[in-house]
Amino acid sequence: MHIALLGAEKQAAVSAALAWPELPFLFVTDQPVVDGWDLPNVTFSHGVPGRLPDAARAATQCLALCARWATPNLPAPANALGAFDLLTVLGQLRHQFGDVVLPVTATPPPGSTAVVKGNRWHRPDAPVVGAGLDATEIPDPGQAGVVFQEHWPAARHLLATGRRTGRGQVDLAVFHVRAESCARDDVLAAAETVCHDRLGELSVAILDHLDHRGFATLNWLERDGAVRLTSYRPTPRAVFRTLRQAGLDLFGPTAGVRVARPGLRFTVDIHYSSYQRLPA
Amino acid sequence: MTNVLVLSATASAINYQKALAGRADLRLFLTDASPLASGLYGDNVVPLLLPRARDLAPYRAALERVIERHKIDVLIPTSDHDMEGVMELLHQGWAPPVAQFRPDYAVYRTLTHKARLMEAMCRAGLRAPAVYDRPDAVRYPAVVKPAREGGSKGVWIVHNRQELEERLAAVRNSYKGDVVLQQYIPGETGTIFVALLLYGQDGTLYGEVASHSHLTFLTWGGGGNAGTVVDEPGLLEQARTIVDRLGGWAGPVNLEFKRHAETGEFYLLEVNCRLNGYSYLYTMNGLNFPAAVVDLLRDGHTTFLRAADQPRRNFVIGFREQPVGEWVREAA
Repeated sequence: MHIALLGAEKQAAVSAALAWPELPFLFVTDQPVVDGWDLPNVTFSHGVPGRLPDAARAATQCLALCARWATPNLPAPANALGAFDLLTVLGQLRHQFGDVVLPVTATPPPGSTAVVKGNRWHRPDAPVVGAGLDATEIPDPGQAGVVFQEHWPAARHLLATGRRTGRGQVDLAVFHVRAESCARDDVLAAAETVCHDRLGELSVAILDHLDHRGFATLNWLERDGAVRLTSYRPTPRAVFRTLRQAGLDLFGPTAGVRVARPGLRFTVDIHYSSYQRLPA
Repeated sequence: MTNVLVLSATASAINYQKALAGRADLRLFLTDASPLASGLYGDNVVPLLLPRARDLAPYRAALERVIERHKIDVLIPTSDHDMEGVMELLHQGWAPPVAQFRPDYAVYRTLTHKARLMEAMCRAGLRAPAVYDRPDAVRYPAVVKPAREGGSKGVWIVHNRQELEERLAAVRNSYKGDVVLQQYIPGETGTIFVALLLYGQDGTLYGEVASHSHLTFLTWGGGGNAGTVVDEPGLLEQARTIVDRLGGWAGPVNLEFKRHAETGEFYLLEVNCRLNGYSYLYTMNGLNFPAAVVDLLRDGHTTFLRAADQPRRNFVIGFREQPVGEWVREAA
């Protein structure tokens, strides 16, 4: 097996390579400086979304780590909507699932505090939250498209992440995100798996409704027993080691609905290594 | 065996942990206010939870308990908050039985306040970005930032009066203390340089090195997360002159500069009175500043550290998932 990770500038790339040291990984990126050069099971190649290097086309699996790389010529990710952008997907989910979904809008909601999000993929840099935002003055540094979502103050940030290959075929973990930092990437800094039946069931129902195939991540907020879905991205997060520890083999065949047991914790090793510059 | 207490367990502290790994003569204790700080889970570290440094009375009491219980020999603050807490305690007369740097309090207060720093630079005839004393005086683009935060926290570039007012309000809402309005020095990623100087308690210089960012944490700039050691003797001389003219220093000090895109001149942006999160780059290049800090504090001397000729190693920071058992609960 030989796995090409597309968008290897994301934190999830090294997470996968560390989780499966026995598998060879090809890191494909359009960024000149990325982590992972010291890992013996990793090779690198420059590529751009939609135009993969030959080595990636020869891989057993190609896994997009950012929706920017989730192009139609890949078998996964895919869904029944044929779209991954938040305007389309959260709009559809709101219609089906009601208040549990926080939709996004192309213009700031008048009179309320809003969060700025990337429409097609994660928006880099520090979060922008405010009332009376002006859509024309919000920069779009990641070219993800700018959308706005009602700010919903929460007690906990939860993350449901895993993979679905078909109805009843889901590997999933629900994490309580304890620390994260927003820079070029949205870096998970500390989290632990939790038992949250309602969120697990809702997440599976949402992926089934979308007929999502491939990796997926759903961001949830929780307050006073209520939950709100704030984001859907067709990509994994940097939790491969924890999921493997939970017994979920995310590169093998699925076997029914499997949910990671609670109590698995991780933090991050702030790691320094030398790198070779790739073409920009 | 020397017991070394490293305050904070994030970037700079992790560099101490990695750079001192394998030193059989040292036992490292890392502390943090948060059980999620990743350095608490490093190899060969005794992890301890402390109150926040800004809660000075309980912080002092906890430090005294740790120093006594673990027979601490050497104390090294490695975050801006811990540095501030320790400096305030020393200023109040705290005299724990440990080896630690005791820099001048007034110099510390100048170096760590971005507006006072620039004013002091101007008074000393040193090149510095202009600081505007009121919104009416601002020339655009300009920079809005909290006076006493590091790591690009709360830093905004503004292009007009409306943006300035909005960002001013946002920064005042989110951060305590003064806000600085400052001249924007033009330059993209790659124009940020850092000079690290290491002084002994008597003000003697024991090491110097310059580095340069290849990548920043944020798309518009800010702290570096990849870079390399560079030959910039002029920059190092400029850094030494700044420290000398502003009153001298004891311990490690980082001066962050931006090279003006048009003139090529270096402008000081801020000073961190500690090793920074970048400093493991120097260890990778044979310049073990954490070991030099410990040697200076314990033995009173160390070998002068200066970058050797090529080849040199660059670096990139990775945030790598690291499974842990339980969150640290050991309160000091």
